[in-house]
Amino acid sequence: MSLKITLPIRNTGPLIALLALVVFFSLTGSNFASIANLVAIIESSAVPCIAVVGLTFVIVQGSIDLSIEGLVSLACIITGLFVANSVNTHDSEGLALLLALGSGLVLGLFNGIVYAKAKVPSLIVTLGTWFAARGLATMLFPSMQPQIHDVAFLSIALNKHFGLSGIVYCAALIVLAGLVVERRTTIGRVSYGIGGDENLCRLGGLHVDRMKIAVFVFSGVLSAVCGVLLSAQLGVGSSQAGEGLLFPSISGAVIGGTLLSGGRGGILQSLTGVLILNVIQNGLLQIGVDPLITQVVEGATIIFAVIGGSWNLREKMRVAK
Amino acid sequence: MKFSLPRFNRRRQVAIKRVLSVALVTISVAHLPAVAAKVPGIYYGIATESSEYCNAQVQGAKAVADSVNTKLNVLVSEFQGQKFLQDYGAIFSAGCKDCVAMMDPVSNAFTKAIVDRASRADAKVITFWNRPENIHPWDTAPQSWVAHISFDGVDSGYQNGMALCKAIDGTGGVLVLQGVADNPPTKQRFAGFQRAMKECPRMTILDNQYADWGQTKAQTIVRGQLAKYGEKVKGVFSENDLMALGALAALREKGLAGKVPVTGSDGQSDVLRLIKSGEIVSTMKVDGAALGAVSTALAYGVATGDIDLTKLTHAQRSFYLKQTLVTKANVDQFLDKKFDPSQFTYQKLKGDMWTYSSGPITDSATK
Amino acid sequence: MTDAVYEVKGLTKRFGPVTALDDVSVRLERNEIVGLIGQNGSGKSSLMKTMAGVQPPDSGSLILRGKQVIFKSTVDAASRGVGLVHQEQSLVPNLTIAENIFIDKSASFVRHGWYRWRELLEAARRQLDKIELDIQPDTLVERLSFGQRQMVELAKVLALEEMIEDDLVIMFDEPTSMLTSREIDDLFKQISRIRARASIVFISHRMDEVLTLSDRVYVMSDGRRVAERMRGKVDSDELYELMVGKQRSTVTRENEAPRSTKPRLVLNDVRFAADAGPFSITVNEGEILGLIGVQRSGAEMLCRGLFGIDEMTSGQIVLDSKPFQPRTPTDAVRRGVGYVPAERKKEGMLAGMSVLENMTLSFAFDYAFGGVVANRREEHWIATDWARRLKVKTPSLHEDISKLSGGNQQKAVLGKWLMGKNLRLLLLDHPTRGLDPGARADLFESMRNLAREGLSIVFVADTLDEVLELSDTVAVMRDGQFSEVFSDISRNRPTEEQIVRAMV
Repeated sequence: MSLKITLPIRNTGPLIALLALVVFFSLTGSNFASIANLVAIIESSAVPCIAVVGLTFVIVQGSIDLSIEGLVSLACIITGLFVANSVNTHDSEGLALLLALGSGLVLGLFNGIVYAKAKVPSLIVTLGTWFAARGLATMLFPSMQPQIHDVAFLSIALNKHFGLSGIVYCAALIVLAGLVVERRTTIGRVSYGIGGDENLCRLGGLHVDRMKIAVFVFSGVLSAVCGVLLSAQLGVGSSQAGEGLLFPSISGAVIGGTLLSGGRGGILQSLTGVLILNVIQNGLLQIGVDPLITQVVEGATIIFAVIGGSWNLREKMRVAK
Repeated sequence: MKFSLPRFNRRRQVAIKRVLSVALVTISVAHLPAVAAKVPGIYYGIATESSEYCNAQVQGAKAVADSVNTKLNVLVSEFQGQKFLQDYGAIFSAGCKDCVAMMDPVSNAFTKAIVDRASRADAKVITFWNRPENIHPWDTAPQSWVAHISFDGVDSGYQNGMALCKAIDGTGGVLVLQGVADNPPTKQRFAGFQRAMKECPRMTILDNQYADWGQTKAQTIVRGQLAKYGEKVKGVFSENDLMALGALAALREKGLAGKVPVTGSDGQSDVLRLIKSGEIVSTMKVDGAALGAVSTALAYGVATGDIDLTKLTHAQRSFYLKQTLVTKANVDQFLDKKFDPSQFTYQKLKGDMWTYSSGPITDSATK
Repeated sequence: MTDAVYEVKGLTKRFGPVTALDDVSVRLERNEIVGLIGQNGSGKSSLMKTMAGVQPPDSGSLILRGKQVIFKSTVDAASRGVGLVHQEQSLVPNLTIAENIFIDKSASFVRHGWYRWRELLEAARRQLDKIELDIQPDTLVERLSFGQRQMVELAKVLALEEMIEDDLVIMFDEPTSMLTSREIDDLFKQISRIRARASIVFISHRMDEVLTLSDRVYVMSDGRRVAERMRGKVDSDELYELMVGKQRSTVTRENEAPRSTKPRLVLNDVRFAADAGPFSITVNEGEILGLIGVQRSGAEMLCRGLFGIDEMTSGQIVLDSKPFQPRTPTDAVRRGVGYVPAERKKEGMLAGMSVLENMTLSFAFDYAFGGVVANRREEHWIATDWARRLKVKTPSLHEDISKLSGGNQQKAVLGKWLMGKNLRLLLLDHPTRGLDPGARADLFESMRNLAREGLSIVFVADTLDEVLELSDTVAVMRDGQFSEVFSDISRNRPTEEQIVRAMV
């Protein structure tokens, strides 16, 4: 059985899977390949991509951050309450940003410290932070959903430059920044080392704990950024804005090759996975698949995409986690 | 666990701990165990505290509870029927004779289970929205299941459908956004819309998707649909307000807000404002406060003996509450309407529990 | 007294009741190569670790270049010019060679957390050139072979040269135990080259290496320095005696009782994936087949193929008169085939579990009631018996297996396979790697005993000595095939030249 493709990059499987899906849907869906639709896919992917940048570093280190939904919701409702809105008289973008991003920073810091110093498994810490943040967001919800009146703020989402909203450009910037950190800074590179063999890194004299805390702070702040951008996109401060963001982010990362066991993958790989998921969702819509079986088909397509994407990684004795 | 932190981190830590304990307390409020009480407990269940409609229900229920000097306990399901089964199950099994419970079981699957547990504990329960068609209060748990209250989904679908028909001048393809597949409100509202389509034959369905009642999901779906159908989209029929808002946001991205009419259902105040501004055509306003108050009062009345359960008719045990279609024509009377607790005291409602009823629930409405 | 570049006096180190070092004094002269030999547990590793800053001594002093020093860590020692080339691979597998070389050093190309890749790679290239290692510095370490990684470890230490004015002191902790002979030659060539500007101490089990390379040799035993010899004034027998405390045995397989002629394993034109084969050979019951060859000659592939790890692409195998086509290790085990892999830490044992757990893990069902419910008592009894027979040295069977010395770990892994009631054929891939001569002798004795009881054994030998000492039949491998087979060597013993000629 030799389907081995020898390429300079280790695993281009997911990328090929993505291209194959795009081709497939272009041929079978009526308007899939139109500019308008491709723009729609990019717009829908923008916010999850931002979340996944932060999540990638965490996963590469071999840990996990389940709290992103809670932090996104919290940041979203905070923003909705402090820019000009329908419920109170606050009108300060600066304050809104400060508080929203600050909440992400603080909670991310909390996650990192409890994980790195108190040695609580990241799964547990971030699970707790998720619920706590969600609870906080709910507490902040006034009796009715605050509608955002600040037109300048909303223009991030509404104004288009070359057909794409400001949110997409934000996402692009963040991705680029993330790539720079990943490839050219100690934190980026050593994160792989930590995921590969943490003890060796410590023995080599590296400040492993500091780096662990740092990536959780990244993830927290980026989740908050998602919350802020979502409030512009939705036009309201929603304390449930983060719902449903966790699964596509983590599975996107894993599908793209950023494995939960750590030490593998990266931002570009995670993005590929997120795009695969969004392409599948959108493509099935364009084909006109019966909505009742959409979920089933989505799940099946994901499995095939993953199998196809990791075909050349199969080894009889390899452990899949 | 001792670990050394620089001093300034300590302050942050304490602050975080305080915030977290407040959050924890809040969450645990929803988990109050049953009090072995001389006074029966009042347990009102809502889906989430982040919803205007749910908050309104709590306001109504609280007005009744306050007027009889009893504490109101609020339980939150977070859209998980399993959670209500557990929470209410715990309350009932701890001993709850004559205490009253009102909630939406989230899905048909949990209705009978919750009612059975109430029955075994001799508690009085009223359910909303989700009930399997083949069971009723009078034949399943006649002493305990006081009533099932709902809002007429078919009516909502029909009236909103007609409003949409009018807004598109009777002709054109529309997008349909449904809730969660197999939910009774989902099926009822769509059935109502189909009835409207019969009377408005040139209004056709371009595409029909399940957006699970969610704002973001609806936005993503409509984005894709706009890319697919482009100019063919003449209108959007959404089974609830949140999805309507999501659809509107997608339309706004293309500069189509206000040009492509959208309908919703629920009567959220932000949607009312959008009706006034013309970006949304109509919504079905359901009075959450009335639901909360009427259900609480009715259950309380039965528990205390003021109302004789055996004398109630079927229509009094399974009924719809009134709802109003809000359009630009009548939106002003609903904007900024303040909640008046005096309208919802137990004493006031005792006079006629069914003033807000619009009639009995008819089975097979979806056929 | 010449001024030694590095001298230790009266070092003592205890771990609880165990005395690892007992008043040890050694010295290292400038540009000298000193070898440390001794059995496992003799203290040579402890001595080197203390000298390199891994652990502080309980008492005694370290004098580096005439000044007394105390090292807080290996990084501290490195900053003073004492570098340790680890046995246990200190390289982070997920990072590139370049990053690993400079990981414990602050340098201008990694400043404030910012990498200047071009300079980093150039600097790494320079270090690699010092040892003539021709690999791209941006290769990930996990892609390298063991031998290449060892060289990178050396480069990592040599990189200290740029930061220290004096000559370095470089310590090698058993650098050759996992290397092929070609890699060993390369390493020794490099060591000879760098001795002109460094002073070197190295540990090895292999006496021939120690004798080839060192100027001077210290022999350790039971935590004490028992002897010091100059090169040329000692031979391997004397060293063996000093180390082990007894004469080297020269047991051969003469005078054995007549062995079975019933074939157990018959290979007929068998090929395995990746150009291994065709193989045709017969192994009888109770026979020991020794395989020997250069790296990649096919010996390892043959074993893995017989165990079901690599796929068989053509030919027939007959095991105990029934056809045998192992598709997975499970198939092989079910037919009574066992496999002791070369890298026991990765593939053979579960570190963190006790010796007993390791031994009873694979074959619990053989002892279980009805094949399901564990029969602990019988398991333990039999495991204990095997541990005794194989002479596994451990305070208790419940000790964490990773705390045992290499030789004893190997014996425990062997014991695990012997627990299988159905064992017919045992495959051993480089079983003596990392074993000191005493442990190796024990292992060979056990293997002979097992063969006498009817077990068939196929093993891949590391040296000519081994293969001639233990086997009944020697199969020399070359380019993925049998190049020559010498059967019944107790009667027709091939010369070393004959074997080597068949190897190359």
